[in-house]
Amino acid sequence: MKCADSIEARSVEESFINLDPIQAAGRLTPEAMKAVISWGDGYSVCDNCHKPFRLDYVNNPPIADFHEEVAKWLNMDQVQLVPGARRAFQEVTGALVGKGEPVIMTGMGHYTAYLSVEVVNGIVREIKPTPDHHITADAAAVSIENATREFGYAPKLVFVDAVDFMYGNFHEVKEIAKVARQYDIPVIYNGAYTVGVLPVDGKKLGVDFVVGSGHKSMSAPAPSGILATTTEYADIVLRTTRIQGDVTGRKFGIKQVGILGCSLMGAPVVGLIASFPAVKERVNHFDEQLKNHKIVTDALLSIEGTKVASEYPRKHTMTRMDTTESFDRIAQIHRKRGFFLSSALGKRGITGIMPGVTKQWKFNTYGLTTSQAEYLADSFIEIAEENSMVIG
Amino acid sequence: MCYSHCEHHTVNHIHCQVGGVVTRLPAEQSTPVQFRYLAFPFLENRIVSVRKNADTPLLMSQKAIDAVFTGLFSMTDIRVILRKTAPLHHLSDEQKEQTKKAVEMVRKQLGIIEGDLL
Repeated sequence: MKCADSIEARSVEESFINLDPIQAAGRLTPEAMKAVISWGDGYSVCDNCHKPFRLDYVNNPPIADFHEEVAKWLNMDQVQLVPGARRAFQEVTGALVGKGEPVIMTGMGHYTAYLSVEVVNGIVREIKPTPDHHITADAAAVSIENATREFGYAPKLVFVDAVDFMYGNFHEVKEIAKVARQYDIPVIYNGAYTVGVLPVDGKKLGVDFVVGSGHKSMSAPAPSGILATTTEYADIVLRTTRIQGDVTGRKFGIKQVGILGCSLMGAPVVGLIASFPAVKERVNHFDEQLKNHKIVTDALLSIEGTKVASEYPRKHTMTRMDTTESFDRIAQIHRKRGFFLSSALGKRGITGIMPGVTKQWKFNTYGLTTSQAEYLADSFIEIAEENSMVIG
Repeated sequence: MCYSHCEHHTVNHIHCQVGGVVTRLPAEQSTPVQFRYLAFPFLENRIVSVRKNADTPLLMSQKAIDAVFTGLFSMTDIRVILRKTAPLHHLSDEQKEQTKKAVEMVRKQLGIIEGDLL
């Protein structure tokens, strides 16, 4: 079925259990789906934009209130909506990092964090992950100390992922922030996999910036995200325009420079707001998500040779599996080679695992019902049995 | 009624409460009004007086507009059930009841649309 001349209607979520690690917590709530139907037109949220003509002052839809509520929810002072977490990174580096200046990055950071440093011609110095894929405060201290010695001054910023995208592991955010504070370095918390699925308290963590992704973890359309900060850094990073045209004398009110004025309009912002009540509630029930996740990991681990490559027991619903000694062995002899696994899952209405991959692969069960988790667990076992694998 | 800090900025909305976010209907309602402003300047005073005296502009079918959105939202409720039960779509008794209610609501809205527009 087509929804436009050359565009197929997407029904992945209606037809399949979708395990794609980046899509799980970004699926829209019913409220967001309805809001998008109604508010999808381009500049829809500008219907009621009055003086001083800025997105975060709009009261209908309740964008102004939303800014305040999100700041309170994250225990930060101010919030700006952004088109994705990456734009929040860029806004912070744009304000704090100059050409040739060092930024500390975890060795497991998202590529956009690196590019946000590159775009301002900054220099990255990494924190080395431990062999079990964690970023520790001790390692961060070493990187900060080395960079300080190398450049003759402290790095301008420390990036830290709450949960990394590679393994879904938790890292020592609070401890790293404590170390950074000793050097007076601001810390940016990448909450792309936490803000919207887990409780996050920026002040308690001791970070200067909390970044969340609307389309990854807050059930909002892409591109959407939030940048939360303290009063201290709001003055710098969320600064307002002072530029003036030399011929016309034009000025631009209180538009914010770092995000080039109004940031998030139409479907993304309304979806974000519409999902927010459900998102606020669901962060208090992450344990239920973990229970469903365990049903699936337990089934996978019962297949001989299968390991969890992420930290274990699991604390997040996104997990990297190591099936080098199980599914990959079958792939060596199966006529479909590595595609046998995704093909067998597809036949059972399961999608989202990278086709052709049987050594290490990631999946995310966030949002599945218990029945769906049980069906998924049974499906993995069935596929193993069909291929004469040993179930423990 | 136009606010203009830039060329694409107009205000013209009627709202009803759905799902925590106010439903936006301006394109469905305001476009004819805006066209009339441009094409028939003599109508301007009349339209302005209508808007001064009522929340709802005269030149539209509010019933049909509401019915379209209510129908779409009920269809969305069915869509959500499809998502929750994928891939087998074995609905529980409660989900069957919810689906039945949503279908009835869609039918009702189709009746309103037929009555109001055709």
